[in-house]
Amino acid sequence: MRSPRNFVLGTVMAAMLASLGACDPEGDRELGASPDARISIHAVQPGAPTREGLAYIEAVARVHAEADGTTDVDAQGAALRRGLALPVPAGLAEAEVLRLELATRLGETLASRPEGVAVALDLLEPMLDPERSLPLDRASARALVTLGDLAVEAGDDALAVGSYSRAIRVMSSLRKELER
Amino acid sequence: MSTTRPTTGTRLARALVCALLTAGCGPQTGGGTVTPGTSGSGGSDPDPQGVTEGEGMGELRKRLGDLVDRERGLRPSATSDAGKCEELCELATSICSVQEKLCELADDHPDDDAYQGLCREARNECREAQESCVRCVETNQNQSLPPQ
Repeated sequence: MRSPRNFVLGTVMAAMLASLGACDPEGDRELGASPDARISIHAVQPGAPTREGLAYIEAVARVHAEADGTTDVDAQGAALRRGLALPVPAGLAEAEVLRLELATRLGETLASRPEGVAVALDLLEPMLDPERSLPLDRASARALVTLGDLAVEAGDDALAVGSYSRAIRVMSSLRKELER
Repeated sequence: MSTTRPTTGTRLARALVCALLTAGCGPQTGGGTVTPGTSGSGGSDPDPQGVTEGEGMGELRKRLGDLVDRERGLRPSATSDAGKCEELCELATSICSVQEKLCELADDHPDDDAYQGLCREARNECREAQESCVRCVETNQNQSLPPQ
C-alpha cells in the first residue's frame, strides 16, 4: 500500500516531469505559453557622417562579402560573428540595422544544421525581445520572421506566432509610412 | 523569406551612398535662377523681378516652354510612384506570406483566442496591404496616361 510520504513524493515527481515535458530539450524554453505580440518601433535617424562610421559600414560589407565567398558554414559563421563583434562607432544609428542583418544571417547560417537551431534562437531572441524597441526597417521584419521560423523548428508555437505577428506589424508600419 | 529583403549588398550600398551624399552636400541655397514673383515679399512689391522679359513671339514661346517644364516638375513623378507601388506590393506579398505561416500555426490551436485573434489581425493586414498595392498601381496608371 502507498504511504502518505510516497504519495507526496510521487506527486512532486509527477509535477516535475510534467513541467519538464513542457520545456524544450535545452530546458530553458517554456512551451505552451501565450504568444507575445507586443512591438515597439522607432525610426532610424541617420547621424552625421563620420570617418569611423564609414569604416564600420565598409567593414560590415567586407564581412558579408567574405560570407558570400564561401559555402563552408563554419567559415560563414566565423565571418558573421566577427562582424557582430565589430565595435560600433558612437552616433551611427544605422549600425542597429546592420547588426540586425548580421545576426539574422548568422542565425540562418547556424540553423542550417539541426543542432544550431537552439544556438540561433539564443542569439536572436534577446535582440528581438518584445521589451526592446526595434528600428522601423525591413531588417527588423526579416529578423522577426527568421525568429519565427526558428521557433517553429524548435516546436515553440507561441514564440513563432508572436514573432510572425510582430513582423507583420513592422511591415504594416512601413507600408503606412510609404503611403503618407 | 526572400520578399522582405532588399539584399544586404543593396542596403550597404544605400548606406554608403547616403553617407557620401550627406557628407558631400551642404545645405541647399538658392538655385540662382531669377523668376517673376518669387521674391518672397508676399506680393507687396508689384514691380517685376529679375531680367526684363521680352514680348516677342520667340521669347513668349520660350517662357511657355519653361512654365510647362516647371508644371511637370510639380506633378508627382510617375517614375517615383512606380517605385513606391513596387515597394508597397512587395510589402503586401511579404505580409501575406507571413500571415499564411501564422494562421497555419493558429489552426493547430483552434480553441486558443490569442492565436485566433492574431490570425484574424494578420488576415486584415494582408487584405489592407493588397488593397493599398492595387490602389497605388491604379492611381499610377491614371497619372501616367497622357492628358486629354
